[in-house]
Amino acid sequence: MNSQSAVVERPDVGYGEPLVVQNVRKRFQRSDGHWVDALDDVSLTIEKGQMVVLLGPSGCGKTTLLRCVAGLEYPDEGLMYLDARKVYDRTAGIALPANKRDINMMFQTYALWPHMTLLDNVAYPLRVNGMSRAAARAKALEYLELVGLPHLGKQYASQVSGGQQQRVALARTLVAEPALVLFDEPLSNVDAKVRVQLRAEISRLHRELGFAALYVTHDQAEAMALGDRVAVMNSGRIEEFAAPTELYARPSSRFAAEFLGSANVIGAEVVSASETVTTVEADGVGTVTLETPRDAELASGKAALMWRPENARLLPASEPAPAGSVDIEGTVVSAVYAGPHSEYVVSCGSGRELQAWLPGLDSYSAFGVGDRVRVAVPQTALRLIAG
Amino acid sequence: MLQKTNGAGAALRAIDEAARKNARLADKRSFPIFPGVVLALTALVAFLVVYPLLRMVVRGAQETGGSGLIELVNEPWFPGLLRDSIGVTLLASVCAVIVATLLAWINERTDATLGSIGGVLPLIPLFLPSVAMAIGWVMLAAPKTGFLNGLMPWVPEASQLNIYSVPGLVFVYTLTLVPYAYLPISAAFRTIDLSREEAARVNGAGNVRVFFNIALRSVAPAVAGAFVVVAIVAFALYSVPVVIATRADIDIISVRLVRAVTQEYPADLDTALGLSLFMFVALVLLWVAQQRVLSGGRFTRVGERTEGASRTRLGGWKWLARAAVIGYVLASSALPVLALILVSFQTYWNPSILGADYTLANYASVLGNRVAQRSLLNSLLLGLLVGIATIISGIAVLLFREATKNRFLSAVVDGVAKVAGIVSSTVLGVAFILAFAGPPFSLGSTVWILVIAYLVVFLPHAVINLESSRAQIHTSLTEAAEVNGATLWRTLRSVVLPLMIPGIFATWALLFVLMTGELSLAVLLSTPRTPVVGLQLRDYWEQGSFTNVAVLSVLMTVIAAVVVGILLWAGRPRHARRN
Repeated sequence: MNSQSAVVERPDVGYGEPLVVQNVRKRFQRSDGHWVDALDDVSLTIEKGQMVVLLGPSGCGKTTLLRCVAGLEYPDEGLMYLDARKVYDRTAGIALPANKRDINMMFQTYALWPHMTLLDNVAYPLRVNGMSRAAARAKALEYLELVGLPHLGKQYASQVSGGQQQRVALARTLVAEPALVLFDEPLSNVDAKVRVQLRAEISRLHRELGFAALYVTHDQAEAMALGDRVAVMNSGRIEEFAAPTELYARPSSRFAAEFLGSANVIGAEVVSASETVTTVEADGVGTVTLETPRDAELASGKAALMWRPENARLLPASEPAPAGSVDIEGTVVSAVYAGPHSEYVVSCGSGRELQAWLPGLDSYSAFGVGDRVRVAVPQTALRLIAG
Repeated sequence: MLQKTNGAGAALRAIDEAARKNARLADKRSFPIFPGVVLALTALVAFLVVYPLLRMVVRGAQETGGSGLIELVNEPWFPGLLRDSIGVTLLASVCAVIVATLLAWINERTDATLGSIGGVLPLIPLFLPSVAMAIGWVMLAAPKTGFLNGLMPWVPEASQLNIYSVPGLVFVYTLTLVPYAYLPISAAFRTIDLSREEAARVNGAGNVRVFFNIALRSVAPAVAGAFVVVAIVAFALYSVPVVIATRADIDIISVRLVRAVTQEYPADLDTALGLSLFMFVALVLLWVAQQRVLSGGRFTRVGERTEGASRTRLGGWKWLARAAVIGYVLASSALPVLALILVSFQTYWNPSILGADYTLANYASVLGNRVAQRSLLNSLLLGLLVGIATIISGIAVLLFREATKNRFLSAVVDGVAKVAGIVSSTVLGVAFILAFAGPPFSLGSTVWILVIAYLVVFLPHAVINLESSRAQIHTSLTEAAEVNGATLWRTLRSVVLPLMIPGIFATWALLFVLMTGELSLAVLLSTPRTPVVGLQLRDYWEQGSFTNVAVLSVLMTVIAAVVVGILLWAGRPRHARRN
């Protein structure tokens, strides 16, 4: 028990919040004997009524974190509180299993029990909590109505479509009003159209019922549409944790910038920094002064400049860049028509390629492959991130 | 920090364990005596298996010492016995695995599949008592008197079909063994995504190449495992060789073992003990081989399957493939049963179907025979009652292993439940006589020695079948119950057991057929005071009363079919299925 010092007790956050995760670690041994950090010192708090999305590539640890919160797996270290109740504390020998935690979970595979009617599936958590059969069925029916399927209660899972099964699973997850609702990539098994409908449905119910939730996905569109906060995970760590708008507009790591949406990133060196502005020397662009206050982590040395492709403008190389923007010259190497906008890739020498998305239906005819162009980016759209 | 994680790992696991146990303590209150009951039962089963085997070894050592074994090995017939037993086992196992692999591939991976019916067809022989099939084939293909020979009167006698030969014996062995190989191999095919084969096809591989390069390679571990399983069953098989091998002068170890005990007076225990020991060692070696195969191959788990991925298109070969499936069903069940029915109505066994006289007198004679009546009733009751007792024991083993986190106890319970599977029923039968027939137990001519023997011998079948039924329940279904707040017992009661019902009833049906069709235990342990069908069948067979043998086989098959039908219907999935 010598690692007690590693965990800082903070009673002030241990109470009232639907979920508090502190310094959680978990390691796995691969078949080749190599140890991997599935969760590397993860801390996370979910406030009342908040939906937090865990976003990351496969193998980043998001599902492991979810299963640890559920109690289906246990971490190796750390603390976890669910709704003011300590559910995991290694040093105190507390590790509550899933059935002792006030949670429910929606699975990727629906996980409806094929031998029960859909109504009995939804009533199950209430029956487990000791509610009478009649009362449980009545409430289950309410929730089936809530997901738009009141007429399917007597059917079995095998008799309805995948989308309907997932709605029933959603009703079952919410019916007992758990302190925290967990979602394990619930939309990855249904087709694109149903996915969008169900996403809207989850979003509506979240608004109406106000439950706190932890939602795991690898789909950035889902993360942005659903999350009050998004935690971007990479290699067992939470890289960034912010509201989706904040995360998209002002990411602070290259991983988050590139995983959430598309990004142009060029290397840059911080030359000087003051309370109000930072000056950098950017590769191929030259000296750029940004209205970014001094950042201790980026105070000197390697950094990077990031901007979104939709913020760039494309001009013929012969035209000068508008005032207040930085520019790079290059050659168009590909142009892709994407309906409401067109996606250009511009080669700027030394292997560097930049993306620029031009809005408008006629944007596709503006430039052709091989044209010399100038990529202009307003200074306000530039963001200094860690290199 | 990482250092600390390492150092504290063991302590942490202990804490996890403690926490889980605390939670489980609460669960236990709902069923507090259960673990004790299982452990007591385990001790009882262990006693029932280990004690007779110990008695056998001690008795062997006391009476003959090592010299008995040397005498046995020096017997003039011993080299022939080895050659025949091992040769037939290997040949039949190879044939059975080849046939089973082809059938499984046709049903699971090609467009010649007959759908869900096609998947069940190769299993039909499992539900037909193997002794009935063997006798049926004697009636089909005995020289001069077999129906198939009767249908081809122009074939000279020397070229007639002769079931009393090595090819004939291997043929019937193969028919009996195919289901044992088909089950694991078809299951392996089912777990592998069809898109693997599609990928090979779009890369330009033809059907033959897809089969050998992709399909066969994917299931290679299952095929290897199936071979060992089949070899174990083949080596211990008694009902088929006792009908066919004796007259063909093929010396099979299980037959000689039973004969040494039942047909010599006084019983030739020296030979029986020596042969038992020899068989025991051989089966243990096969079992060790099986464990190595199982641990060597990494079996694919059921993963996501690509919807709509297409099966191998066989073109014109499709009809040949379907004919092969149907041919197997004809050979393994329809034809032998038809032959039995014909003979059962003939005044005497006459290979000319149209020229024979038909009568009901055989049925009157068998059904009027008090001993035959009692043997049918006894077998029916034993099959049903000991069957359900075995199932309940099997379920208890399964639940105990789910509930306990004590790996040692879990392994002990599992090992004891399955240990009889590696001792053949002939060997166990001999050991049971030594241990329980005489004082102090004196169960010799009671029904209890049969009850105990059936339970112990068939418990491994029950446990293994129930386990595979349990394994088909996706973990997300039990995890869903857990996150819904259900305790372990509630999860088992409300999710696991209800979903296992079809598997439980199918296992019961299988046990019924195995128990009623069992011949070696019947011959060794039942007496005219406690007759079972197997014993009566052997008596009629030795009297040369083929019409009565046919009648009894038909009755046995009809009873089995009716009981299996009722059990499978009772255990059908209650929830409607789509497609």
